[in-house]
Amino acid sequence: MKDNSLLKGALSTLILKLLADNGQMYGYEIIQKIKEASAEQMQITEGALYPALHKMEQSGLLKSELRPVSGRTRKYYALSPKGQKATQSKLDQLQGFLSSVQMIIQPKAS
Amino acid sequence: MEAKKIEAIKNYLSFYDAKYYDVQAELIDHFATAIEKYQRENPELTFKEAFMKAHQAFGGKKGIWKYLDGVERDVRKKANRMLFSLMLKFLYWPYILLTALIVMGWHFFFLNVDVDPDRLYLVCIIVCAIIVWGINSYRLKNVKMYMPRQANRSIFLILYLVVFLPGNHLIAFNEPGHTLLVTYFSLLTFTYVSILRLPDLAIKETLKKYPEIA
Repeated sequence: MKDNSLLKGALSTLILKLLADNGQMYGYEIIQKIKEASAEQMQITEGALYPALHKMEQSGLLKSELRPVSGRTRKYYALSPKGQKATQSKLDQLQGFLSSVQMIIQPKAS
Repeated sequence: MEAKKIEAIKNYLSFYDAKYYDVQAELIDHFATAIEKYQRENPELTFKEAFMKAHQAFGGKKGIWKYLDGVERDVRKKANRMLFSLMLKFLYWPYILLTALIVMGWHFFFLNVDVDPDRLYLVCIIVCAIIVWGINSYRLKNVKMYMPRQANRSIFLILYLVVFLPGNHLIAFNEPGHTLLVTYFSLLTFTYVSILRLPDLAIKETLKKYPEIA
């Protein structure tokens, strides 16, 4: 996906979904998972992920934990109780949005 | 990854003003993990080549700046929240005693001292703001943490609003009961005292999150 602006609006929902499925993950792992799951179609700029993670942590959707890993510190993110509650509604919202887009761009198929 | 290579990543990040551990930690791990992955995929790749690849994937220098911008924004929000919580304490026991003392102090001051409130205002913005900034900067001189230092910088917007909003027109507030003047100068005092207490709270918060800094 060349146009990253499409990904921007969905990034927080994708992060919530990944964390809901995988439990704890660190930043680089999330980036790789998004790339893998989208068959490299979503080329997220790595630096763009962290502000999103920090924002979600600030708003209480995520919690983080630091753990030492081979001579450095790794920050693991996980869903907070608030994030767990928000995941399904965010996914429903995204699903609804995608269906609406589908209806507009392919009116016959829908 | 060897300590020498971690040190090289640290030096590179310091170049972009990410020189303190609390802002470096996550980035160091990101770059180290990316470099390890690239070298695993292609063992021919040297550390420097893998490092350059990781740098590009991160978005180059713009990526680092974006990351730091985000961190700065977070710290600003956090600092505002901390300052607000410190100011709120003035309404609760035992700080309420200090609140009463400050309000009464200003009340008696305006009742007994014939002073031009605009001159007092100027003293407050020039002298007190410089003193508060000086004290905090001195206390943070040897603190190697990004959050407390940035928090100290970010509160200047609040200070600016509190101090400059009334403008140089306090004389208009000078009604016989001095209620507005007492309220304004008391609020200004609470703000200054809270700002003085902010670095300790910010250091405590950072150490709670990154105990290894201690």
